[in-house]
Amino acid sequence: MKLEAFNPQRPEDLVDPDTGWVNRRVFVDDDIHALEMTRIFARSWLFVGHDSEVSKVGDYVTRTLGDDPVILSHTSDGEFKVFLNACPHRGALLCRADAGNTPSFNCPYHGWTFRNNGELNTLADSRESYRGKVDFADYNLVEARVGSYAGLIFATFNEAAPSLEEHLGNARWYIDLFFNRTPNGAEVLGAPVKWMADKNWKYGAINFAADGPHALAAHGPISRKAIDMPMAALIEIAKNGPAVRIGNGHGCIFVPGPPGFPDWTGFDPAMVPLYQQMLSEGQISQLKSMFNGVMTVFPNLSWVHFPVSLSPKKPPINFFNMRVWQPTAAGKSEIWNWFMADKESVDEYKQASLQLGIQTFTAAGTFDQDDAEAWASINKGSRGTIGRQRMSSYQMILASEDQRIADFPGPGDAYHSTYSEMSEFGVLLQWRKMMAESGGNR
Amino acid sequence: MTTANREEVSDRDYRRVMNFVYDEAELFDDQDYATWLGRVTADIRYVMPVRSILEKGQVSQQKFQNGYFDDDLDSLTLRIDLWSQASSTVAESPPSVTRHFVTNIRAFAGPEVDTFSVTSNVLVFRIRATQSEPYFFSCRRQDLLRDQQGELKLANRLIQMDEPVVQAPNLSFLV
Repeated sequence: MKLEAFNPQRPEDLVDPDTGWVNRRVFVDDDIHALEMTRIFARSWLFVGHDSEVSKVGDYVTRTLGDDPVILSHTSDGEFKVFLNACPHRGALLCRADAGNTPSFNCPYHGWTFRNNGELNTLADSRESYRGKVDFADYNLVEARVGSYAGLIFATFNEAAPSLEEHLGNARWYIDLFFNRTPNGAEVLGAPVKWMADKNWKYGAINFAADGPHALAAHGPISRKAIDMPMAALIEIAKNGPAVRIGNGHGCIFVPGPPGFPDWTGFDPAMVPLYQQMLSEGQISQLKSMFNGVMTVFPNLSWVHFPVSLSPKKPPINFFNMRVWQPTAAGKSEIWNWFMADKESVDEYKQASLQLGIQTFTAAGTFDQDDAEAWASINKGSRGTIGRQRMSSYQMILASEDQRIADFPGPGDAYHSTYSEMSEFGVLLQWRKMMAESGGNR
Repeated sequence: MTTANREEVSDRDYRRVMNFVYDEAELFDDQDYATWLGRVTADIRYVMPVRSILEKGQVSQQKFQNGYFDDDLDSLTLRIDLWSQASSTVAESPPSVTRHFVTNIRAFAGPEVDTFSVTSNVLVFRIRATQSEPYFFSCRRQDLLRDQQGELKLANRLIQMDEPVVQAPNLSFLV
């Protein structure tokens, strides 16, 4: 299939909701990328950090929302605030470190200073030197709207966006399974590692929404070594695992273990009573039998969670990897990568889980190293003059749309198999919806 | 790590250490990881932590340390098994081309008898199948070498990488 003529005024035409064909310009075109910055990233709630990264008063981290640098600040008043990391005077970065602790942000150029709640503090000269002719209210830091759920802090500069609760919607039921399953919730294990992938950001978001079949193709050999299950069983459970189109572009898959798979495999046993205290019966039914959970919160926050062992001497333990797919350019995406754990878990479990995460899901990870090259190949194969006219296929949806699981305990639309492309294509349907709208609202 | 005021090794031992790290570089570039694996101790730790940009005097407040590598003998063996077999990794099929340049080799007496503390700088030139423009990886290594029956073995390697954002989609090679 190919698409020769394309009207740049109608980017929505690039995704065909009826056939599952997607024009590859979506992933390689510079104009599409520029349009995404205004229509998706400047409009949508975006993940900015986890509250455990800025747990103390004065803590800050610097982040990127779309293509804008921002500061996430734990203010002296005890609030989480997000500011454009640019001096209101001439636009210089106020913070150039990744993280720190400070009562104030100081501009390196003319020495203007700002309290960590964004208020202008001092100028290069006195306020009087402006002789009453300027309004200093214009000189506070540009502040984003901030919302948080289960320790995940989101921000947007879009005043017209609906509330974070509305944006997350049904995703909260699934977020709870990972970030809100103990009374104190999750915490980050260290600062994020970052690397530059040769691919469009959407390939990551779609892959984690999630792509069942790639797991056993691209990651087949490592899966045989790191996962304590015969290959045939792995394929069988992936085919039976539900894929959930949650709504608003959020998607996830749950792959329950095969028959006889012990409940709570890979979890810290001490946490199980806490899960039972925090979660509903329906949520527990999914979590206790879960082998693999992978999820994307639209547009670019994802996580993956499953038990692995890279040593015959050690039983499998769950690692819990959270990441952001930064939209750097049409064919470039910075991956920001954290590992998470339940706060109440013991340090030995957290350390073991972190180590397995590092061994599997980072730039050097035994799983990630393969995605990197597969995605770079897609980028290369799709960006040529002829290549970008061709279509990418999500046509498994045609065989899956009527395969909804009627009695799935979670909200949204759950489908019978992770081999269905249903939850993956949900990301592109939301992309299509947001790209079609030219106003300020989503 | 400062190297001031530490006990320098003899010229003979320096040569042994130098030969060890040069041999390693050659084995890496030849992708002869199996031979390299014979030159590490059973209790090897191979770690490459995150590199963050922080203001002077500020240290990471995080209790745990994220990173790119945190390997023991079992996980190194598993990686190497994957890289060594044709088409068992997408990442290294076809294999990437690397050239390891090792400089600034310093060797000192180690914390125990028959050990050496060794530091070196490494620059790796790399080409991947999908990327013909070279990528350069720069780091400093802090090694602990142990003399086992007259043979030097790598017991610990801490890799301090220099990039806060790795400008490559993967790091499917060793340094």
